[in-house]
Amino acid sequence: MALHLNLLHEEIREQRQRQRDPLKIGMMVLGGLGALMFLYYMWNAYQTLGIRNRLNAVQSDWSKVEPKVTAAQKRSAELNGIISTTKVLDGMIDSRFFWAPFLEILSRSVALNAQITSIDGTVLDDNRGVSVMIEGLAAGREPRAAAEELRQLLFEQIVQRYIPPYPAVNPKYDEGFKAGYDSAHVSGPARAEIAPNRHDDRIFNDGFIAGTAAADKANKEVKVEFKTLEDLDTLVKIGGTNMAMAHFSLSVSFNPSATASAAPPPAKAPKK
Amino acid sequence: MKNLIPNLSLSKDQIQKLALSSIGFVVLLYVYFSFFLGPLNSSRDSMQTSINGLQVKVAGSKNEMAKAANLEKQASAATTRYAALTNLSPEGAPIAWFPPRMKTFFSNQQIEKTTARLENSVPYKDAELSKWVRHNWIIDLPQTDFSTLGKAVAELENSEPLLSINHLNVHALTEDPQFQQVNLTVATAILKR
Repeated sequence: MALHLNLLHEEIREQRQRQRDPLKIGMMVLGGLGALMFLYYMWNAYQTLGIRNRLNAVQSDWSKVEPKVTAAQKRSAELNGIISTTKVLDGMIDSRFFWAPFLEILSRSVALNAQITSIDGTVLDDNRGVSVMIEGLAAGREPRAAAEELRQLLFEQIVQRYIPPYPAVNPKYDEGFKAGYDSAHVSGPARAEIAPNRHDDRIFNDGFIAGTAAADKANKEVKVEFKTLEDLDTLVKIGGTNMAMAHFSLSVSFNPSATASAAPPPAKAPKK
Repeated sequence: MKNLIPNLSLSKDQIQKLALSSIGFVVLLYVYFSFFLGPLNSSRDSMQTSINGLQVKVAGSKNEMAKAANLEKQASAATTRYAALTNLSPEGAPIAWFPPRMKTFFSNQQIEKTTARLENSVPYKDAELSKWVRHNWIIDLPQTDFSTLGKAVAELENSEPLLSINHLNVHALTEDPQFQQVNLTVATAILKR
C-alpha cells in the first residue's frame, strides 16, 4: 500500500472550516429566505395593484351611476309620497257625506200639508253616521197621521237612497237578493208573493237570505223617530178648510258608510 | 457520521454568531409580516370588500332606476290627480282667499250676503297629510230658499272635492217663512304654502 503524505493538511482543514462556518451558512439561508419572501411580496403587490385598478374602474362606474341613482331614489320617494297622499285624500273625498241628496230626499218627502221649520244635521266623527233633527208642522183632519206619513216616507226614501241594492254579479243571486230585500219590508201574504217558493234553486235562495239580512241590517241602521209630536190649538186654512195642526220633531240617524257595506260578499259558485 | 459530529462542534464565537443570526431572522420575519405583507394583505382585502360593495350597489342601482321608471309610469294618474288637488289651494293665507271664494261661489248661485269665517285650523294626524292642514269654517247664508240652497250645496260638494260639510243648520225666517237662514260648518283640506 502506497503511503500518502498530506503536507497541506492544515490549510485544507482551515478551508473546510471556513466553508462550514455556521454564520456564513446562516447568512446564506437568511439571504435565500429573504429573496423568496421578497418575491412573494412582489407577487402580492402585483396582485394588489390589479385589484386597485379594478377598484378604480368600479369606483368610476359608480361615480357615473350614483347621481342618477340618488335622483331616482329621491324621485321614487317623492312619487310614493304623492301616491300615498293622493290615496288618503281620495279616501277623504270618497267618504264625505253629501248633503244635497239628503236635502232632495227631504224635499220629496214633505207633502203639501206639512212644513219643515228647522233642520239641524251633523256628520258624526269616526264614520259613526249622520244625525239630523227636523222640526216642522203638519196639518190635516188628523195632523198626527200627516206627520207619521212624512216620517214613513222619509224612512223609505233614506233606505232606498243609502242602502243600494246588491251589485249584480250573478243574475239568479241578484234576483234572489232583491226578492229577499223587498220581502223584509212587508209581511203576510204580500211577502209570500215577493218570495216565490224556489227552494230548489240554491243560488236564488242564497241571494234571498243575503237580501233579507241586508234589509234587516238597513232597518236597524236607519232610524227616523219622533222626539215630539203634539197637537196645536191653532187652526190653519188649507184650500178654504180649517185644519188642525201638530208640531213634530223628528230625529233621523243613519250611517251611509255602514249600510253601504251591509251587503254580503258575492256568492260563491255552487259546487258541481 | 462520526466524522461529521466533530465537525459540528461549534466554538463559543460561532454559537454567539448563530444566536445573533437567529435573532436577526426572527426580527426579519416580524418586520416582513407586520410592516410589509400584513398591510398589503389588509389593503387588498379592504379593496376587495369595497369592490364587492360597489358592484352590489351598481347592480342594485340598475334595479332602482328601472323601478323608478316603472313607478313614474304607474304614478302618472296619481301625479295628475295630486296636481289638480294642490291647485285647489292657491298661494297665500287661506283666510285671505277662502271667504271671498265662498262669497263669489254663493253669489253665482243667487245667494247673496254670504259670510265665511275661520273657526280653527288643525293639522292632520296622518303622516301622509303632513303638508296639509284642516281648516274648519263657518259659512252663514242669511237668506235663501230651500231649492236654491239644495242646488248650491250640490254644486259646492261637486266643485270642491276637498271640502266636506260637517254641520248644516237650516231654519225658517220668522218674518218671511218662505226664506231660510242657513249655517254651514265645513272642513277643508288645504296645502301648506
